[in-house]
Amino acid sequence: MMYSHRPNTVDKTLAASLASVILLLVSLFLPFLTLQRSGINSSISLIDAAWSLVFSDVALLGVFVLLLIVFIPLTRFGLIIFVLTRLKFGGKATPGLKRSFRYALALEPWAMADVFLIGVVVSLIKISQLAVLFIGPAFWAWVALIMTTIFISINFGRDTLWLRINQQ
Amino acid sequence: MHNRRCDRCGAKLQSRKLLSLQRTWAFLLVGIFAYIPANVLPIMETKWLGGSSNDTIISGVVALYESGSIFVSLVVFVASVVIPVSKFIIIIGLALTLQLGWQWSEHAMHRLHAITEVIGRWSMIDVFVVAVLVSLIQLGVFLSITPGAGIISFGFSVVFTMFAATSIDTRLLWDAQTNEA
Repeated sequence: MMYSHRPNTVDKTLAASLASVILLLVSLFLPFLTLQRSGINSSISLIDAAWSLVFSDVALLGVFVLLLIVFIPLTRFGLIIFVLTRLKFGGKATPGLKRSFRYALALEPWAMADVFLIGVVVSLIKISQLAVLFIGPAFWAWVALIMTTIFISINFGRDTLWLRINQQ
Repeated sequence: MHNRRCDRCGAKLQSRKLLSLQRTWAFLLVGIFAYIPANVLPIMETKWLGGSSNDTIISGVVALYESGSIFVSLVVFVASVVIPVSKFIIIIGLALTLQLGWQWSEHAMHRLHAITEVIGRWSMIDVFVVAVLVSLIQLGVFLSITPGAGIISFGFSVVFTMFAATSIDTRLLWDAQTNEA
């Protein structure tokens, strides 16, 4: 299929992108997992986790993770929101607008929130014998984020959006 | 063609990606070379009272399998071994086909190329596993997990293989056919 028309793609994608940004920010700061061992509870949020990695002797690992699950997804959502609000409110199709949309498309494979979730599940199973773990609210926010991201890719009418951009 | 831009998206027009094959080989070689230490060196070290163990990618898979999580061990094995190795093979195949003018079905080659672009990112699972375990287990004296050099090599291997896949100019696959006709 070379071309596909998706109705309401601007509104649906815009709404889901805004929701995704909120969910991502919420999951960064709320407790993601709580670990219980010998009576000690320690909760950890994603931002704590990433920060402790970035300032450890394996800074590179922290940088990898921050880029792939925080900065690249946020940049991508930001670009999509920028382009779609301009479209919705009749902004001009400037070269900057087109470039933003191109970059948003190019960033897609590098936004790895979904891969990260599988990694979290594998880690949970790996240490289930060493410690008792509880899933925090940020984990569920992250699951919701995966759903809004899937919703975006289902309703993302790339061709329709390029047409709209060029009609402005 | 010089300095013309696409009417639709504003990207610079290029007949063919510059030095597509050279770039592909360069990225791919880095990806393959980084994959060797990724498998030989430990990806993480677990220390507890009175003992410690080094995990490599394969020993991590085996440990999961032996603990009874057969499905999960399979997921990790596919992400860390099957996907990277099949990506190496597919990209080598595509690059050699272009280089030596082999005749294959272009549709099959395009499909293989599309598949490598879609599945490559799932290799990152192990990197995230180590990152989560390391930051989660900070219980000091009882138990500590530190990442090994292997996981960084593995991350680089995945990133460079993704670069290699995107730097293949798929239009070259059609050129090979047109030149023959």
